[in-house]
Amino acid sequence: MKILLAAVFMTLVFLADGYPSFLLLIVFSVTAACVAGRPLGRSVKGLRPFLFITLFTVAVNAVVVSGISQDGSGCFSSVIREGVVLSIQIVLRLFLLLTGASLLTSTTTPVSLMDGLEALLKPLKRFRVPVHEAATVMAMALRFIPVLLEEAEKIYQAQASRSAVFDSGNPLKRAGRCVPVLVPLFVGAFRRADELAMAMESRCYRGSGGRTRMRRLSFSRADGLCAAAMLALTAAFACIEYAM
Amino acid sequence: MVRKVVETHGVEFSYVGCDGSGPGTKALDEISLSIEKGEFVAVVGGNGSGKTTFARMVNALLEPTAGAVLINGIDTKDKECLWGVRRVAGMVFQDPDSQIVGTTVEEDVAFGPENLGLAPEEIRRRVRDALLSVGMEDHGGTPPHLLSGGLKQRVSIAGVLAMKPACLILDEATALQDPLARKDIMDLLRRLNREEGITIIHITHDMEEAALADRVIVLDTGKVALEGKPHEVFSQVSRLRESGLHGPCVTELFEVLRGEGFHLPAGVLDVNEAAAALVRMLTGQGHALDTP
Amino acid sequence: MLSIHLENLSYCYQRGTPFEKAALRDITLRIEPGTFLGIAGRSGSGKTTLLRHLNGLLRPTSGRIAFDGLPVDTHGARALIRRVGLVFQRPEDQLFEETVYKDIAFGLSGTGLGPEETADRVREALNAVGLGEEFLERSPFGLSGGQKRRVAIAGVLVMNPAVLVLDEPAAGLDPVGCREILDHIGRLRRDRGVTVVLATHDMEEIARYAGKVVVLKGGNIAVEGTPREVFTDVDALESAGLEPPRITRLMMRLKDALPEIDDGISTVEEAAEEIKKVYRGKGCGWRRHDTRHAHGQICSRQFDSSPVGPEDEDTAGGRLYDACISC
Repeated sequence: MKILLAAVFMTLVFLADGYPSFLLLIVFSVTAACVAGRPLGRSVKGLRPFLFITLFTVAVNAVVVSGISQDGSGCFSSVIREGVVLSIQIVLRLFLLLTGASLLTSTTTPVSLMDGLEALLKPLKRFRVPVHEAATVMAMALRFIPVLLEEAEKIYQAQASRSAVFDSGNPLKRAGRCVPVLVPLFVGAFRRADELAMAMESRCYRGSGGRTRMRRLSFSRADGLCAAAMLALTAAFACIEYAM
Repeated sequence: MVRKVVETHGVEFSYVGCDGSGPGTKALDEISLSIEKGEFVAVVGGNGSGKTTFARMVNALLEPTAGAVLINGIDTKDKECLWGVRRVAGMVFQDPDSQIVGTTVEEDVAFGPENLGLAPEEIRRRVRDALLSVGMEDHGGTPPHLLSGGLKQRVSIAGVLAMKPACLILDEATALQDPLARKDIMDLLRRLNREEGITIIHITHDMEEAALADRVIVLDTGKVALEGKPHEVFSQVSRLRESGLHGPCVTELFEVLRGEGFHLPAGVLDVNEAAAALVRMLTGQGHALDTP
Repeated sequence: MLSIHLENLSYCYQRGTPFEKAALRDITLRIEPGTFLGIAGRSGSGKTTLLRHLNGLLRPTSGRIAFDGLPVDTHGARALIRRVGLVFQRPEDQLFEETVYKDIAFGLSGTGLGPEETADRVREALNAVGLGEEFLERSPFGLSGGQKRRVAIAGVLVMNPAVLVLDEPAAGLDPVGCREILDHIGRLRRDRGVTVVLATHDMEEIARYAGKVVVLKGGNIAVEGTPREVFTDVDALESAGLEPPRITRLMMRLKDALPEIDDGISTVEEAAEEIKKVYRGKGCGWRRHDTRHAHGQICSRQFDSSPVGPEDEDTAGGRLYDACISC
């Protein structure tokens, strides 16, 4: 359910055009964040990695996009103004998208996300899309990311300890030295995959056939409320858009 | 009637040579033995003795190239009953990071029962019981990478217990753990064996652990070299040495002293027994220990 | 010859974040050249973190570490740090080259050595771990686990380290492999005077090889000293989650009944000698018919005054004594 709602929200973000719609969406996000107990400050901090890309986008758009000013003249200042307006829109969209996504991932465990995705994509099974296998692969990737990261760090440190030049030189040269880290990492990952496959088989895993789940996804009241809120948002959004 | 959980008749196994042609090395050669229900058996052997291959045979991960392996009477070669075999004989591997698949402890323990197609309530019950058996009931929601090695191994054991196996095979499951974690796991295994009647097959190269078993099987280059109660097996020092093995420390010490003419009992396994025997000898409390 | 001195060294992982974790607290330790230091502790006691300070991978969050007196961040220390070779846990996981030769030679990259000298050093390193030259052109991935591990260790030895630091080098190996690797390392110390720092939770390994022991518990030093001093401090060991070696435990049990016994012993050989010594000291109060002596022959050793019973008298009225072990 959450995934669906998030998808709807993101669609609305893309469709938004004009200040009132954006304002509505922002108010909605803030409210949702407060309700979820996620302080907005933390969400904003979480967007810091994307700051660079946002600024870059703004800069490029401000200069490159040529907007037709309202009075039809190709006056420089109005061109710039159009560019800036567009940039602000892009920034707002990015911000809303990221807030929406981070709300989803911070309030849902990866397990439930996987289950949700698998459930949503189940109809695709009819078209022989390996939904279960894909979901299992993603879940295992989640499980092993910390393990592999630790392994990569260890291998990196081991090679740096051995070779005098491993850690030095310009960034380009350093990037070229990824073989001593990547090869052992991959070899280790394959070995682990092999052992894992054996362990899974020994616990009677044979694919999705005949498999049940301990956790069943269920529809709760909170889900109903959220769905209603999203419906209301969509309705309001549509009104504003068509009224303009 | 005491049931034989594991029976092997003239089992052989050869790994295919690296180039895929011709007979490879014989990992197991004419292995015929049986393990009774409720036994705690230790299988020891040096590098290349075939003990890991043996474990994989019992769990039906490998099929013998000759002979038969029967688990609770079912032949492991019978493809129809493959999953039945794996249900009965569950395996725990050496590296917990290569067998834990769940993103949380509970999820991983549920993996086995889920594969068996059980109802969700039944799965939940089994997960709860399994975690209780291994003492991890408070860690249900913990991600495995935050646990220590010993606790991870306990989770692995719970994962197999949730399938309610008759027999638990541990393939050097304590090799990577520190002494306290190892002791912990051995205590758990003994409790499972004694209280829940689970047959345990413990593959190990730690002789002190093997000394805790009901029976020890020594493998050497794919053959059964020795078999019997721990004190019987470890007292045959020269045969063990031929297989590249040595007994527990105190047994070694007693062998050195016996070689120098001291009359001490053979096959002494643990510190307490050894201390008692030595005190008797050194304080002259014993009578003549033998006659010509 | 390189000495390493740690003074009130502490280390915190992820400082300033909610995941902050103190791994080492207030460690003061001197590693003298030519010694074999054993660092014992459970998993998670801080051994690995401590070892990573010894070759400069980690910098202390407080306190200092000095190499031959030079603090770690100085230019002089950096050259000295290159002389510390660190062998990680499961070192075979870092093999990556096409041949054993190339993998070992990786340790010499950037040192500017010519091809002949490199070849000599690689061969020497390989021999030092007990592998022959036939392994040089083989792929490291085709070797057995124990062989891979030795190749990985050779990859560190090729740098001719003054200090060799090993993080559980025998973990997961069978007893024979374990013994072989550690014997080679012990030989390195004897023959080349390499300082060895061995982190392990196997007390038997420490008993066999270490001249000095440091026990870590929760990032602190719980107890330190000679093996004898540390092994007999049972309370400190137990609180650190360890136990004395089995032989030491045996000797300590014997000491309850036999106060003269030396309970600081930790190896089978020493224990056998000690027991024989105590036995001889006790004299022959034994009744044992020994075929080495003719019937009735009296052993000339001095006996203690423990009485022997009437059945000990032979028909000629003399006393039959046991032959003692030293006869």
